[in-house]
Amino acid sequence: MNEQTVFIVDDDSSVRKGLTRLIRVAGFNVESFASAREFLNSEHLERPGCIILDVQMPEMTGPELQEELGKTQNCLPIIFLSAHGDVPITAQAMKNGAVDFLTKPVDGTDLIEAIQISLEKNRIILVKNKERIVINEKLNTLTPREYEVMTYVITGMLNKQIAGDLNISEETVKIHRGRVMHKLEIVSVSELVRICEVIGISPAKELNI
Amino acid sequence: MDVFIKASQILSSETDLKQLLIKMMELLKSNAGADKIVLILKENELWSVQALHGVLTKNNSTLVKQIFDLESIKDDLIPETIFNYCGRSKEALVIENAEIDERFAKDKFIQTSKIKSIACIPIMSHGELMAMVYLENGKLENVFKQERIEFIKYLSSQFGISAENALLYKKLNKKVFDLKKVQERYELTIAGSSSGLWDWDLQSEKVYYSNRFKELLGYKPEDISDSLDEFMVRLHPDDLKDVRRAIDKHLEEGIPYILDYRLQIKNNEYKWFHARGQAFWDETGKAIRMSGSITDITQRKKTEVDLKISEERYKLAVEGSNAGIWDYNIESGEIYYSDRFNEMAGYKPQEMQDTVETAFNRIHPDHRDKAILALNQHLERKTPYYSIDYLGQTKSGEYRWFQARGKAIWDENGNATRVAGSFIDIHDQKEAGEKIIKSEERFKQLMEQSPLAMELLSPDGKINSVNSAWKKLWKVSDEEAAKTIEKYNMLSDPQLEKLGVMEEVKKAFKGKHIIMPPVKYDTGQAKDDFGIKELKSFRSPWVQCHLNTVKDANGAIDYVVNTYVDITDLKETEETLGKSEERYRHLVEHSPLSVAVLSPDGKIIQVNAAWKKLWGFNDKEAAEVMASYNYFDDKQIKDLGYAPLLERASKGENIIMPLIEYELKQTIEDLKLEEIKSHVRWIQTHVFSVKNANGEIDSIVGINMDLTEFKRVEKEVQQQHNVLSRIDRASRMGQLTGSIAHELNQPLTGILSNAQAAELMLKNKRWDEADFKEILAEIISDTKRAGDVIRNLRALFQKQKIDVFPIEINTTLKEVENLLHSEFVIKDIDLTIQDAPSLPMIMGNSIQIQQVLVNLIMNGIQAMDFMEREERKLLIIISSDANEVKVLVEDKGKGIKPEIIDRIFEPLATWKPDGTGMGLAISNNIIATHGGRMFAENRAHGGARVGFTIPVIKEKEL
Repeated sequence: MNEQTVFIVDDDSSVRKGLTRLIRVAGFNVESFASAREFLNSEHLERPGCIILDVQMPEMTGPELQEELGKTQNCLPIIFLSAHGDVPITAQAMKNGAVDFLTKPVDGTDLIEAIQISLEKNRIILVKNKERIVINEKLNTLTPREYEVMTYVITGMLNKQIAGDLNISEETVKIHRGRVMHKLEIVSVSELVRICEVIGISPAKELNI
Repeated sequence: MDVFIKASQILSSETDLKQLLIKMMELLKSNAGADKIVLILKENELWSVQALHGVLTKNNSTLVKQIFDLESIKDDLIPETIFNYCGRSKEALVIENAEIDERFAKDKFIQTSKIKSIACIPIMSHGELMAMVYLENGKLENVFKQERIEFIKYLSSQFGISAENALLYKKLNKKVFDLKKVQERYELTIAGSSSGLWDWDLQSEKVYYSNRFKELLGYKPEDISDSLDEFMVRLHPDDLKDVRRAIDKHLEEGIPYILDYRLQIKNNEYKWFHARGQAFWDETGKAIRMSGSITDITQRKKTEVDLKISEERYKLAVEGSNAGIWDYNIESGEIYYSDRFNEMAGYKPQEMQDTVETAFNRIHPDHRDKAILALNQHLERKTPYYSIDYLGQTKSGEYRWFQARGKAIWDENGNATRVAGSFIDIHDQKEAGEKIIKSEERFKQLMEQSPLAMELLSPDGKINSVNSAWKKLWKVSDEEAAKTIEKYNMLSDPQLEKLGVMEEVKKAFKGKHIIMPPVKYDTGQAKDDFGIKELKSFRSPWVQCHLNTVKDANGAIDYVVNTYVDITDLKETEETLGKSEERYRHLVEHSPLSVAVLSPDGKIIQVNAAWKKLWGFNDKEAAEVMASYNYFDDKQIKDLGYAPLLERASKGENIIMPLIEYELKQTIEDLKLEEIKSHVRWIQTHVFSVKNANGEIDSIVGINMDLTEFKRVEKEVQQQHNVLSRIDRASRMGQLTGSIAHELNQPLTGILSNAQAAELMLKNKRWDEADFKEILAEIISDTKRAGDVIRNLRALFQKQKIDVFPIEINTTLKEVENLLHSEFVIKDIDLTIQDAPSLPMIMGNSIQIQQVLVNLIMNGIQAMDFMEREERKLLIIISSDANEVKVLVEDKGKGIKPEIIDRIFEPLATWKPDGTGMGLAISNNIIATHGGRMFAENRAHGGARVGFTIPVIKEKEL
C-alpha cells in the first residue's frame, strides 16, 4: 500500500478509459473514479500518489473537490484536466496549489511529466511529515523551562544574555541548553534552528544587532 | 363667569384707595382693549384724575397719576363733549368711530387726536355721579363691543362700592389720627403733674395720705383722716375686688402692685386713678407697711375707652370692607346700625331698631338659614369672617341684594362678645351678573334646541358641552356623550391630522372662522384614539364643520363653537354617482392609449396624459391645441377622404379609422400654432360616441392607437429579418461554442490517450493483442461520438433546404439532449423528461424541430440562472392525442412578465437582458410552417411553460 497511485476523477467514460490505459502503460498504478463524491468517499485519501481531476463534473466540480481536500490537510497533489481553457478557473486552481492545469485532449508526454512532478512532490511531503512526527515526539520530552530556553537559543543570544532575560544564572542556562541538545539528539545550534524551522517554532524575540 | 368673580374679588378686597385704583387700572388695561384709559373721581365736589394709562405728555413720558382741575381734564385728557354728555346723562356712552359720529365729530379734542373707538362709563353712588372711566382706542373702530362694555360696567360698579369703602376708610383713619393726637397731648399733661402719695402701716391699719392725694380727691388736707376706711369707702365697688387681689398678690407673691381704679371724689363723681405700691417686710418675712402713689388718669381712661370703641368699630368696618356699619353686642343683645345702614335699607337715621331675631327676619326666607349658619360658624371661629350675599327687605318691602360682612370679638374665655361689620348694596352688581348668566343660559338653551349638532370647546381643545343634536349625529347616549366629552380633545385628534384638516382646526382655535372641508369622521377610530371604551353605539357620518370662536371681554378666546352639518346622505349619493364617473376619469387619464374626448361638434373637451405624450405636448401646448382644434375640420383627415367615417361616428356609430401616418405639423400650421413642435405618428383611431340618459350624443371619444413603433419595427423587421435571423444563429453559436468544444474534446481525449498508450506499448515492446483490440474499439467509438457532435452542429447551424420527413419527436429530443448535455452539466440542471411510451409520427424537418427544442430548453435554463443550483429543475413533457403531438418545456424561474406574455412570439419581444428577441419568433415561424402552434404561459407555482404542438400524420397520409 505504500506504492504511489495516480487517481483519475472524471465523469466521462471515454476520458477515463483512455487515460487509465495510457498512465498504466507509462508504468504507474492507476485507479479511476466517475465522480468527485465517489473519490471522497473512498478509503484512498490516506494513500500516497496524485490526482488527475476533471474540472466540469455534475454535483461536485473539480475545484470544489480541491477545496474539500484542502480542508482535510490531504497531501495528494492535483493535476487539473479541462475541456475548456477557462482562465479564471485555472488561476484559482493553481493558486490553491494545483501542480498543473492541462487541457483536453492532453498530450501523453505532458501528462506523464506532470504526474512525475506530482508524485515527487507527494514523496517529499510524506518524508517531511515523517520527520515532523519524529521531531515532535522529541520536543514533547522537553520541560516548559527547557522549551523556553530553546526559543532563546535559536535567537542567537549568548548564554549570558539569556540568563539576564530569564533572570536566572548563566550556569542554569547552560544546563538547560545541554539538556535540550541531548533530548533532541543534536550537537549544533544550526541543527536546532533547522528543526525549529521545520516545526514552525519561532524565536523568543527578534535580536537587534 | 370666572373673570367676573375674580375681578369683583380683586376689587372688593381692597380698602386702600391708592391700591384700589392701581388694581382697577390693571383690570381695565387687560380687559378693556383700550390704548388709553383715564379714571377720574369726584371728591368733595371736585373732579380729579386718579389714574391714567397710555397718555403721553409733551416730553413723551407716560403719565401715571396727576391731579388736575376740571379745566385741564377737559383740555388734555377727555373730550369735553363726552365728559359733559356722560355727566349729564349718567349713562355709559360707546362710540364706534368718533371721527364719523355726528354728535362728537366736531369736538376739538377728537378732531386733533384722531380717535376711533371711545367708551365712557359713569360710576354712580347713591344716585350721584362719583367717578368716570374713560377709554379710547385710536387705531381700531368699534373696539368696545356690548359684552366688553357690560364687563367694564360691572367692574365700574364694583369699583364704585370699593371706592366708597376706601373713602370711608380714609375718613375713619383721619378720626383715629385725631384721637391719637389727644392721647399724646394728655400724656404730656400727666407727665407734668405730681402724684398723690400714700403710706399704709399694716399693723396699725393707719394710712398716711399726702395733701396732694387729698387734693386729687377734691378735699382739703384736714377733710380726710389717716384711716384706711377713708380709701375703702371711696373706692368704686367694681374695683374693690381687683384692689384686694392686687394687694394680696403683692404681699404674698411679690407681684408688683400696679393697677387702675376709680375713687369717688368730693362731688360724688368717680375718677380713674393709676396706682403703684411697694410693701416692706421685716426680718421674719412679715409685711409691715406698704406705700405708693396715685395719679389721676380719668382723662386718659376716657380717651382710651373712646378710642377702643371707635377703634373696634373701625377695625371691624375695615375688615368687613363696608358701606353701612352694624354692631351687634351679644351680651346686651343690642344691635347698632350706622345711619348709612339705615339709609341703605330705606330708613331714616336710627330708625331701625333690632334684636337678633328681628334682624334675621329682614333677610329673605330663602337666605335666612344660610345667614344664621354663616354667623354661627363665624362665632364658633370656623370662618375668619362672617360673609354672605343675601336678599334683604328694605322699608318699602322690596328685596334687594346686600353683601354683609363682619367679624366677632371674643373675650379671654373664648366667648364672642360682639360682632360688627359692614353692609353693602350689591343689587346692581348682582343684577348685571344675573344678566350675563341669563344670556349665557339663553345661548345654551338656543344651542340645545338647535337642529344642528353643536359642541362648545374650550381653547385647549376639550369639549365643554354638546347639544342633543350632537348626540343624535353621533348616535350616542347621554352617558356615552359624557364619556366622549371627558376624553376627547379636538386639538390632539390624530384622525383630523390624518384627514389633513388639523391646520384648519388650529386656525379656528386661533380665532378664525373656519368652514372645514367635508370629512368622513370615523367615530370608531376616535374611540380607539382616545380610549373611549364606553362608546358602544355610534356612527361615522360625513360632516362639514363650522368653527366659530366666542371671545371674552379681553379678546381672548373663551370657547370655540363647532357646528356640524351632516352631509352623509349627500355624500353617499355623490359617492355612488361620483365613483363611476371617477373610475371612468381615472381609467381615461391613466390609460396607456391616447384618449381625446370631443364635444358633439368636434371640439376637444378632455385629453389624457397618453394623448399629450403621443403628440409630445406639454400641458400648456395641449391646452392651446385643445382650444383651437376641431376634429371635423381636420384637413388631413378630410384630404385622406375619411370625413364620411367621422360623420358616421358623430352620429353614434362605432368606427375604427384606417391606419394613417398623421402629420401633426400640418395641423399645427393649419391652427397657426407654429411654435409648437410636433411628431409624425402612425395612428389608428377608434371613434365612438357616448350618449346621455336621453339618448342624445353627449360626447365623442377618440382613442388613438400609436402604431408608429410597430410600423417602424415592422419595417425594420422586414428589412432585416434575414440579418437578424443570422445574428441569432451566430449568437446561439457563440453561446454554444464552449459546449461544442467540450463535447468534442471529451472523445478526442479518449482517442488521443488510447493512441499514445498504444504508441508507448510499441515503444516498450510490451503489448498483447487484446490490448490493441480494446484500444482500437475505444478509438472508433470515440471518433463516432465526435462525428455525431459535428453532424448535429452542422444540421443546426447550416442553411438547409427544408425537407420534411416522418419523424418521431422522442428521437429528436434525445438528439437535442445529447447536444446540450454539457449545458445541463455546467448549469447543474436537473432534467426530467416525461415521454409517452408510443408516440404518433409527425411530418417535419428534424433539424428545424431540434432548433426549436434547443431554443426552448436554453430559454428555460437561462430563466433559472439566478437560482440556487439544487433548485434548477427543467421538465420536458411530451404527450399526444389523435390530432397532435404536444411538447412542453417547464422551468422554475420567475416566469414571463405579464406585459409581454401576449407578444412573446413577436419579433424583438424579449425578457432577457442580452436576448435578441428573435429566438421564439423564429421558432414560431418554424412551428407555423409545420402546421402547428406555439404557446407560452406562466405556471401557477412559478416558472414558465412554453411549448408547441405539431399535427400528427394521419393514416392516409402515410
